[in-house]
Amino acid sequence: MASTQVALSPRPNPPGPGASKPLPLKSKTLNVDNAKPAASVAASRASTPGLETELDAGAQMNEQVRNRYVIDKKIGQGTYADVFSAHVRSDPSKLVAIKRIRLQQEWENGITMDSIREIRFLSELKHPNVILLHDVFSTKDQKISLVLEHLPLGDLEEVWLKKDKKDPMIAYTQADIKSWILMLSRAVWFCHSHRILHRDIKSNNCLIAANGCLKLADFGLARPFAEPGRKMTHQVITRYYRPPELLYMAQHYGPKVDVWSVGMILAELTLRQFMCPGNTEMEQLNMYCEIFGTPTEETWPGVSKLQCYVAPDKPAAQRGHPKSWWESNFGLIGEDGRNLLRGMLTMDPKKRLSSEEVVKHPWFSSSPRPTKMEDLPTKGKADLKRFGDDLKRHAGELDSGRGDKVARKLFG
Amino acid sequence: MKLTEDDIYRRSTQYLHWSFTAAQLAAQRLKTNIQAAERVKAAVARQRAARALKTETPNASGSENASQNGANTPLPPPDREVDCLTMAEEKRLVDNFCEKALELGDFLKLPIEVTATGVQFMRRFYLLNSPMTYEPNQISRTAIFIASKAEGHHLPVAHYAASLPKTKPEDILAPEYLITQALRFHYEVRHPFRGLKGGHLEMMAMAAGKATLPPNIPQDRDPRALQQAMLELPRRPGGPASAMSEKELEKRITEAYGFASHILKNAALLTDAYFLYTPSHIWLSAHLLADEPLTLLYLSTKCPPSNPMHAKLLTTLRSCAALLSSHHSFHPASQTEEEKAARDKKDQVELKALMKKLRLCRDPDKTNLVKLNQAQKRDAVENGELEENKRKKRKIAREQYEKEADDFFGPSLSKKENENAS
Amino acid sequence: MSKPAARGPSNANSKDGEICPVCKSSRYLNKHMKFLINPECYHKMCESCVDRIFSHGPAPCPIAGCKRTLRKVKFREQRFEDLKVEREVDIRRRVAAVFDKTEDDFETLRDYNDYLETVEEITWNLILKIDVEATEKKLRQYEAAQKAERNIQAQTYQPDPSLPSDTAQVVLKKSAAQRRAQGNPTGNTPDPASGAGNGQQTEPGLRFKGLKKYVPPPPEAPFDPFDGWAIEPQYYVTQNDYDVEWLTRAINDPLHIGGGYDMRDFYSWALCDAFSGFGVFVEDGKDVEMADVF
Repeated sequence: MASTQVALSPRPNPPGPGASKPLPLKSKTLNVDNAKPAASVAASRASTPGLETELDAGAQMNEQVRNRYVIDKKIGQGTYADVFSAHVRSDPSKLVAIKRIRLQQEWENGITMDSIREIRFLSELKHPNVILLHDVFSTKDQKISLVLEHLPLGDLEEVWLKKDKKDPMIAYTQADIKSWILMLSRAVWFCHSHRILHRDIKSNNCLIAANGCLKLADFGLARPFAEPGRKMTHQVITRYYRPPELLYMAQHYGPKVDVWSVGMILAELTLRQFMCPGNTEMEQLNMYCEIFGTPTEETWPGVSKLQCYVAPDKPAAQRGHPKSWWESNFGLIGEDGRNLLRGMLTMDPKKRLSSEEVVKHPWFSSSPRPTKMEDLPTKGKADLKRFGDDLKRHAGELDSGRGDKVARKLFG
Repeated sequence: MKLTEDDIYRRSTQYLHWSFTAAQLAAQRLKTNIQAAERVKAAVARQRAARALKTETPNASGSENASQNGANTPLPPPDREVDCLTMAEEKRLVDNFCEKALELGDFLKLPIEVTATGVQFMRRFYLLNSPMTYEPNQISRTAIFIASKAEGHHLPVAHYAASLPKTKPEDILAPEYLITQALRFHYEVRHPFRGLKGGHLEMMAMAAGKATLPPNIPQDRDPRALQQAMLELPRRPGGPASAMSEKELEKRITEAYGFASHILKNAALLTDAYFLYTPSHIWLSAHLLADEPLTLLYLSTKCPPSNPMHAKLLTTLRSCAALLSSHHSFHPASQTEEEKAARDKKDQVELKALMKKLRLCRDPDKTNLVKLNQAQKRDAVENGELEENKRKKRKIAREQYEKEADDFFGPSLSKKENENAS
Repeated sequence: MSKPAARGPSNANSKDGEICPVCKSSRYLNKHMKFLINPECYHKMCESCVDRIFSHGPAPCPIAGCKRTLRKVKFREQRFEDLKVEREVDIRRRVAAVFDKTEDDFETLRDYNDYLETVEEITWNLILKIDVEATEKKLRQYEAAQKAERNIQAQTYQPDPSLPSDTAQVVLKKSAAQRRAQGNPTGNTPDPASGAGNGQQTEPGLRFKGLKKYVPPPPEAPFDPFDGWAIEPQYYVTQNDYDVEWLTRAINDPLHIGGGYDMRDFYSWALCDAFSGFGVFVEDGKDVEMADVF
């Protein structure tokens, strides 16, 4: 708008501040001989024409992929990546999200291991509850961009956690919790059946699609299962969701670590608060011991050999909370739900449910059935629906909805 | 969606993007070879012209320019056309550099999956690029470095570069994007190593008479009968039935494992096996080379001869086995040490000649990957800066105009309204 | 349409609105006085008059010259300052409740537009009181016909009981199917039973071109926790243990045991890898369809 106004302005264009000065790039190329050390200029001169006219096969394919998408706007920014909303050039109605990995100044090891891992595993995992990776390309300034499916409805943490007092409280039921946990468990089962550990499951890595479908995202810490005898790092999984064996610094662990995290999500959805928000690893472990009792060789064979294990000093500490504590805190999910929860939050990973057992748990098939994903409550869903409806209605069409809307505004 | 173990492989990037029929593979190599040769010829011609110009008008900046680019690269004698590598020669060279990469991995004591993945990255890279364009030594170091990250093996670049002769971290990092683009960002390589272990576990269970057999495949044997059949297996195909003890059988299976494992860690990585066959076929073929009667018996419990797939499977395995055994690292019992030494020597001579030929047909534009990468990055940054500058300039100009327009006409109506509203 | 009143109509209207036309009591004397209307005739009166006159059953409207029979339940507060608007909104709602097709119900946009035009004509006839008798008849007949049609469907289609049973008169934007599943919350049409009887006997009245045949949604599939996904190995069965020498150390290692490393995960992994691609022949070329997966 502004520029057209300018063009129509009756006065001659006043000389802008930059008009007299040539652009920086121009000045560089024009004053080659004295502006820059000749070496690099010469290199750029010699190589650039080759690059532009004749790209390598790899670069050509990259270019093709990159040109398939049009970036609309930045929608998020983090230390690790920037996220843009974008659309497919040939079909603007198809929205995607582009996650552009930031170049880290202090990271001198080239492409980060996180992004390579994320790309590696997402390329192999195609499941409705795992975020879909459409494409990958790199930008001209060598930033890797992941083209991911567009998931506009926030994450699972926003559902139960009110970060801001102004945020509306989202009401949900047991059936809704079932639906979310089931979708998440399917994703985890799928990863595990492909022998991949996610190792960073938490509610803000569970993203929600426009149709309410939950998608597991962020595979930056994922890895394949380990072969026997091969050590893995125990420094994985966000602390609140980290299972006890990792806090005891186990280096030979398995897919049950992810199941614990899912159990923690079930707990926080039910409690509407973090179940065990420990400030340190020690505190985290103490919380577990208080709730579940301190593990011993009897309750968890092998635990005493783990690096960080501390035997309980007094017998009373061994017990953990009674059944009534679980009943009063987890009334919402019923007997079956508590059963599943305690199955997932079992200290000894060998006794903990596997992701397949979780999906098959009777809680999901018992009444009430899990809510259909499109009926799940979500932040901002009403607005989006209204928006969609608005698009569907034709201009000038009058319907009962209009009067009702007015009435709602009046009385609502 | 119901997935079998075959479907899992069919959905992998290795199958979808990096598996080819022999004809497709040859066509792709030929295409790469022709393009690279054309490019080399054009670049050399350009450089010759530049040099001719330099000798005519020797000025300071010109000579500096040339010394930065072409002078280090020996150019072929100017009166002759560049003698480019053929497709077969390219492949031979790449195979050789892959072998060197494997030795490097051994030397650095990297886990086998890191080196193996790195070698496959190289092979994938050279399907789309020619060694004439990109020097295989430079590419192999970086391919292994990328593989270490893909396989989750912590290998800091400074440490890695220090353990290589005459290498700086930027030498490793410079071709990263080049390689990663050619790999089309597919970082997963499916190896046959673990499959071999799985097969070994099952064969050992069968030898102990304790194997659980899949229910959907018609079995004419119970585990005991299967064990008995195994104990009587002839040593060689077509040989007389033997009568081994259980211990001897176990030893035989373990030896077969060791032999097959060696093939997988060498010949399988250094041939086109990964492009042409599935990991399952590769380990079975290696095992077939190790102990044919044992492997055939094992196969019959998975795909009995009555199954229409059986014949096809055997043909495939045999052709894969032929490919694996054609590699010089394969050392069949029938070959004497002298024969092997002679063969290796011949290989060395041929390779030396190829290396010499390669030196004379290198693409002069692509010799210094570090500079190339810097130039590319700088171009991008300058473009970015340019955009940024343009935007800033536009914004300042617009604000200026608006301000002046406001002074003259008073603020626009819509603006006023907005102010009132907010 | 005119703008809605800025505040609730019971608070303040024109000066006339401050006095009940029936009992003549004034808001000046009774601050909590509330005016009600009945969509039969839209005559306004105060709440206490409504209580007094209609508590014992239907009675004629007390406003001179009206005489329409009113029922107490139908009285409600006025929503729009302008009673004309109030009436139009009611009529529109009533018509829209009967003519509840959406664009998706029609084969073409053209058919849908024709339908909308007919509906708009009926609406305006009622609003402007043109041909009221005939129009009302059309409306009733159509409603009855629709109802009869849906009764047939209802035998095959059971609405999901978990859907909120909406008794409110307000028909918000619901899917057409959902609306069909519910009863018709019409305003003040005569007893629908008699209308339905008539409708079924006589000709169905309005018919619209290009209506798609209603297809009831398929019955809900039985619950599958995996939502149709399964991984079913075909060439092997994983055993709980394998007795090989190179695994015994890990099997007996307390760090593996305590850390939750399950050897069975490794066994099934190794076996899956052993046969992943066993029946896949690269030389055959690839299924084109598989390319769509990525």
